[in-house]
Amino acid sequence: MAEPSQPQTVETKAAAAPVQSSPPAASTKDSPDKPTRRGFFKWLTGGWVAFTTGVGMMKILTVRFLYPNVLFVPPSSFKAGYPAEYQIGQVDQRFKEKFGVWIVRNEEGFYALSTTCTHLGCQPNWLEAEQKFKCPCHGSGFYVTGINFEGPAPRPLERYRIMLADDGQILVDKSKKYQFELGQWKDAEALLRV
Amino acid sequence: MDTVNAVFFFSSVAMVAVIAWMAWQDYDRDWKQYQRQFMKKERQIAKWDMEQAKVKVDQEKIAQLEKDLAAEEESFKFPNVGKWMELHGAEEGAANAEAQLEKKKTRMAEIKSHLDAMKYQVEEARRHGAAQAVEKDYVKLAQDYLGAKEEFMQSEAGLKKAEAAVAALTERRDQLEKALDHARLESKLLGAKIEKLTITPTKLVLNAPILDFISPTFKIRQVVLPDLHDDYNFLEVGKVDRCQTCHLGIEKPSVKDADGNILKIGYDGANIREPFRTHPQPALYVLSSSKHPLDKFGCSTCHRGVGHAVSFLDAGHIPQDVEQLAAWSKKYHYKPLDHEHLSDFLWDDMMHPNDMVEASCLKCHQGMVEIPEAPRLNAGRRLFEDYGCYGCHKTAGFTDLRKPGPPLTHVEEKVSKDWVKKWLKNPKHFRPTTRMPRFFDLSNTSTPEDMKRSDAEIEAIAAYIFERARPQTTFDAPPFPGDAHRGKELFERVGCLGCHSMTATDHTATNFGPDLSAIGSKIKDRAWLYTWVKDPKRYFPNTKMPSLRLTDEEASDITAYLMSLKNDEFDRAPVPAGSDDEVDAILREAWSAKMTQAAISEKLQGMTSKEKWLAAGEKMIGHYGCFGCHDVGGFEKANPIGTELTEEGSKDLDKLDFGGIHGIPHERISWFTQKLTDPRSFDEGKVKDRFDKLRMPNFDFTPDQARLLITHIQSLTKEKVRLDHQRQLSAREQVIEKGRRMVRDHNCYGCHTVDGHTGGIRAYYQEDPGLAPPLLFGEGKKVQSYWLYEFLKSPAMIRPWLNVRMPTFGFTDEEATALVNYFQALDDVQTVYRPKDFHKPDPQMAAVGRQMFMQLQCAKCHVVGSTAPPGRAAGDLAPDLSMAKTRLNPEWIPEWLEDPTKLMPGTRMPSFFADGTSPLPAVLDGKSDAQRRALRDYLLSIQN
Amino acid sequence: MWQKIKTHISESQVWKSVIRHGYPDTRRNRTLVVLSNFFLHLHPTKVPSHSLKLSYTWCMGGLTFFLFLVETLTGVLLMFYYRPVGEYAYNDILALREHVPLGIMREIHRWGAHAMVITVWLHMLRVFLTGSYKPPREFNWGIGVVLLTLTLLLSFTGYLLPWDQLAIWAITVGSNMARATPFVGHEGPGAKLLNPGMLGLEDVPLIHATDDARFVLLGGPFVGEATLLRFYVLHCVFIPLAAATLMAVHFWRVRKDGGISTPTDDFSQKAL
Repeated sequence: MAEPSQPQTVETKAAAAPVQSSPPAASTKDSPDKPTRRGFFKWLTGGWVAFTTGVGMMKILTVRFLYPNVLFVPPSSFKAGYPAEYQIGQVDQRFKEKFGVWIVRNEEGFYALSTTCTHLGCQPNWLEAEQKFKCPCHGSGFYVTGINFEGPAPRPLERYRIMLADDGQILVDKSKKYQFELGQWKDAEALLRV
Repeated sequence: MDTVNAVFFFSSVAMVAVIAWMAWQDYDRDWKQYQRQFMKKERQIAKWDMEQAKVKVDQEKIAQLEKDLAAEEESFKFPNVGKWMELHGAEEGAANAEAQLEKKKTRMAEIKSHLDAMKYQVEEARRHGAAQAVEKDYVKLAQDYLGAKEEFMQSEAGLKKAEAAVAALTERRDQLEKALDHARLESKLLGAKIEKLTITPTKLVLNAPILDFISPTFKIRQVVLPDLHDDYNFLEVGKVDRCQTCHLGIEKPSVKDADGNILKIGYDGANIREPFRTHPQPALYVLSSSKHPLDKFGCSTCHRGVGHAVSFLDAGHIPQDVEQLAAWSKKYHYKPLDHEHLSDFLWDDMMHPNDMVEASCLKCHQGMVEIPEAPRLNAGRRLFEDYGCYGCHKTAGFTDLRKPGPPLTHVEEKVSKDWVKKWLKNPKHFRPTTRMPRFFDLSNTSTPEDMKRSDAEIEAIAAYIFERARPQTTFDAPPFPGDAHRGKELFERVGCLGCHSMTATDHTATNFGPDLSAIGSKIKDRAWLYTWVKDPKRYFPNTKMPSLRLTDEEASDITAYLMSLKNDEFDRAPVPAGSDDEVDAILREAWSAKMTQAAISEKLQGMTSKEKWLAAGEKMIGHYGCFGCHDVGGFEKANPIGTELTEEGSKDLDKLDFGGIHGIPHERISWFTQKLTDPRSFDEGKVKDRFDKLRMPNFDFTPDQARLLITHIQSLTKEKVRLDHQRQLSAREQVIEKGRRMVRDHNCYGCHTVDGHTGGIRAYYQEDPGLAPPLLFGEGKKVQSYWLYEFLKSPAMIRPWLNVRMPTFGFTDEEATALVNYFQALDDVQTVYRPKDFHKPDPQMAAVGRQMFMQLQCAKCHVVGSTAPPGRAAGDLAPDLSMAKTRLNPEWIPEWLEDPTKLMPGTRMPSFFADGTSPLPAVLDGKSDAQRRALRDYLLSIQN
Repeated sequence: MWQKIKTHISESQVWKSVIRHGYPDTRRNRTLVVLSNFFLHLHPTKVPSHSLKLSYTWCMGGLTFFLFLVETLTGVLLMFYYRPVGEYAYNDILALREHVPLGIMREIHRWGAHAMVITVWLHMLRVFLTGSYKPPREFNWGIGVVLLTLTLLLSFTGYLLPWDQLAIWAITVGSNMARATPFVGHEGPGAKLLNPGMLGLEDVPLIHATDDARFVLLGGPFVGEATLLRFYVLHCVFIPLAAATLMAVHFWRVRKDGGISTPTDDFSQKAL
């Protein structure tokens, strides 16, 4: 690194100067031992610059410290079995607990719905008899498609990317989501066609 | 003043430097390098895939589609104003409809929420009585809601119509776009993948120190396994395995088609080096389709080591051999812990070396005689059992076994005292393949004084054993003088070789029973041997040796033969003799712990020489623990003397005493290797009294045997896997395991090929396998259970031409039943009880069968009752068919006739009805299955 | 005899080192008492009589400070029994209810917390009604507003610690607000602009669900064990320290800005 080398040259200069000039100047009034105004400010300014840099770096490191490198949460993508395991019209709740996803099979294909209410982030329940998702917190209701129709939820539930893995199983990737109001549900991987 | 400022300046600069260094240290990790290298490999593979994809794609078709699409889009443009206008109008209509729908929806939702609120009010009001006013409002609002809903639904229909109008106009364009997308899809996806695998300046920034939290390319990968545990001493903590952070190709084997062409390149090629190689057995481990998927079992569950570590050294890697050790010390500064150096590594949590990983199988696969796919662990367990380690070392799972050695309670009937002394001195001198270990003159007792003392100890032991031995039974003298030559022939014919070898020195020969090549030097009395071969249980009721139902003459011949086999060198060797001084020394030392020297002297003076030898013998047998393997009079209740091994695999390293041994690494496997190959060596350089010296005898294990045994020892851990995570045996599997135990204990594999084991004796019948004991494929399906039960209890002749005999094991009813159940469970046959003659052969069919029997010339090979086919060598004969009625399962016969080799690979029975065809088209309309049933009915009507 | 013991004690070095003045029966000693006593040093030397008038001050500032002390004391004691770990947290709360001696401490802590929010509001209202936010006290009003925020944050972070369903979902809902933080919340305005794609480079969203403001707050993408620990540390260490520091400044400024405001403040200012 460059920083350490620079002060070293400064140091030798500073050390060299008194050695050269001190014997003859011992009796003179303007002794170089005494700090000059310029030297004083040079050291002090450099010192404060370095100190501030160091403190700034520590602050940055402290912020970085708050971001863990590893999260103990289920992986963002998971395999959800083979398409043949699902029945048309079925809302599959197997992955709700661990991954926060409902997998729905309709005539067209499969889609993966997020189980996070778009109002304030609670987890709605699927009511089979009423064919709707109902949020216990503030009563938002969603159709099986994920579209909101009652309560305070401002927009439909989000869908996740869904596709077929190499081995023929359904693969859900939560790192990519599709929002209805942005027209994203029409994207290729928002719906796994069969 | 200047000095203070200079100090301030330099210390601040130093602080900046230290912080920067700290941040860099935190950032710079090996695993990132590995991930970078792996990314490069992945990119190469993706590029290769891209090339393949390009070859496959029909470029012309794409060009055509592109052209069509451009033309179609052109049709909406300038000169075609009409079409453009039309589309524009339709799109606008759809947009309006959508807006309308949104408006209606909002209105409906608003009214609905008011309605819901009012509903509550109505209900509240009803509870308090006066509800009329509110109800009126409610009904009105409900009407409004219905209206709003109606409008909403109409708008919905409107939108659908408008959208359909747009779709009708753009139908062709949409289709073309879709087709083009489809054609380009694979190369598009691969392109995206390659882009993702390329390091760009943006990615460099995103992977830079401090910034690498936003979207880093290089990440720690882990599986979290809350149900499996790491033992942190007094605390069990859920497992987290991060091995795949570096072992990135572990679940990526090549994908091949049926012809072996590679469809997708994986990481199992010869050019791939660690840490990127795929697991060598992906079908069994790691893959999600395997029985042990990575995300359920992790890595350290089997391999041990520190699963959560992300650096080479912390993970507890262990070198497989010396070369690897040297390579690692160079590359990773890997240094084994030895006498001089305390190591930086976590030696309690080292991985298993590759050849010992099977040690981990046991914690989940319990209660099995043999663990599937774990040959080395099974071999280790077998060694442990065969060598009788459990005799001295109490070990869970090996507690119900009988003592491994023969009883010494009436040994005087069998051998002479001199033979015993010479045998004790060095058992291998008499029989090089014996499993009896050597106790004397080993590395800690090899000085002349020690050897003198050893001879006295041997003398004492022999004296005690012979004093305590009591005659148990009488022995019949052979009624015939016996012919050794005939005896030899008989010995080799009747099946003795299934268990016994005659080679003296061949360690690979069958060793279920002892090698008999010098037995004449051991047995002191012909009468004893004659009685033994005729009826082994008379002398040793618990023996595994069965009776071959020898006649008096046969037994006499074999006796004569065996008695003629001598080991001259052993016979000539001097008999160890102990001096009376030594016996005093033994007793003095033994008693000195509890008595004063004066009292000992007084006691010794009051004893005769014989008493002294007996007292010393008792002491020595107690000391060496002979009773662990043999029944010894007076030691019926003694406890085994060795360390308990039930949790030996979890023993802390600091509890293993390396003593004066300096040349080996201080870790568990080295310790056990040393202990097993030279058990007394840890006494080297130590000052010890004779009684304090290590006393484990030397079994002369080869290095490979030692590794097998260590694999077994490492499997004995205190790790407890939750019951529901262990392999649970089904009822059928439990029956099989019970049978397997019996089959192994009675060495059925010595003669029969059954359950994946090849009959050992078949090696002697390579020239004429027809004379070897039968193969037992599908026995449970083949024979009637009651017949099998009776046969096991009392074997009857099925193949009169065979010289080798099925022995009488003297099975109890339970044992015979267990074996029958075992054979049936192996073939997944349900045990059903049915009348003996439950299958009534149809006389007409039987007549047809008889005709076929003639035509197919079955009697050319098969014996039928007393008629043997003329002119055939004994080895070419086939079983007596007059027994079919009582022996064979009626369901089995037609199946067998269709394709005998399918049911019993290696059979000589020809296939007449292969693939449903028939050799006799004239009979029964040439119907194969009917013909086979006819044959069956004939066979079952042959009277015995 | 008695006198002798008394003199012996009061002449001893220990006594003198603690109490450095004689009996306050002379003017000098009385002054020394005030100057050398720590509490009298903190306390204003002069207390205007109107500042003791409850109908004017409502004593809300004092009550808030008192409640802060109660919360500190009970909170520190509760820390002996409470473990901020998923498996234990709720159990420990139940333990406090069921069998910990004086587990009622937890109720005191909780009711005290509610009361403190109320008294802070009332204190603010009183300060507003009496116009005490006016010069020269604007700065102290500002500090007061920050203290109000800290009080609310203490309540919010403490809300999670019982680790029951109410706590988890309340914090889930509450922390979702942080999603909408401008630029650093992944659903906030401007977050989408922070993407190298805007410069024509790769499309990599720099602000997303696992690195935005809410993520730092929760220590994960949703309320989990990391959140519990983070909130615990904030609740027990960071926020109380910050509040205590600001309170010290707040009280000091009350004295330096001329004591508690009085109806006659303006006149006295003019008089000066």
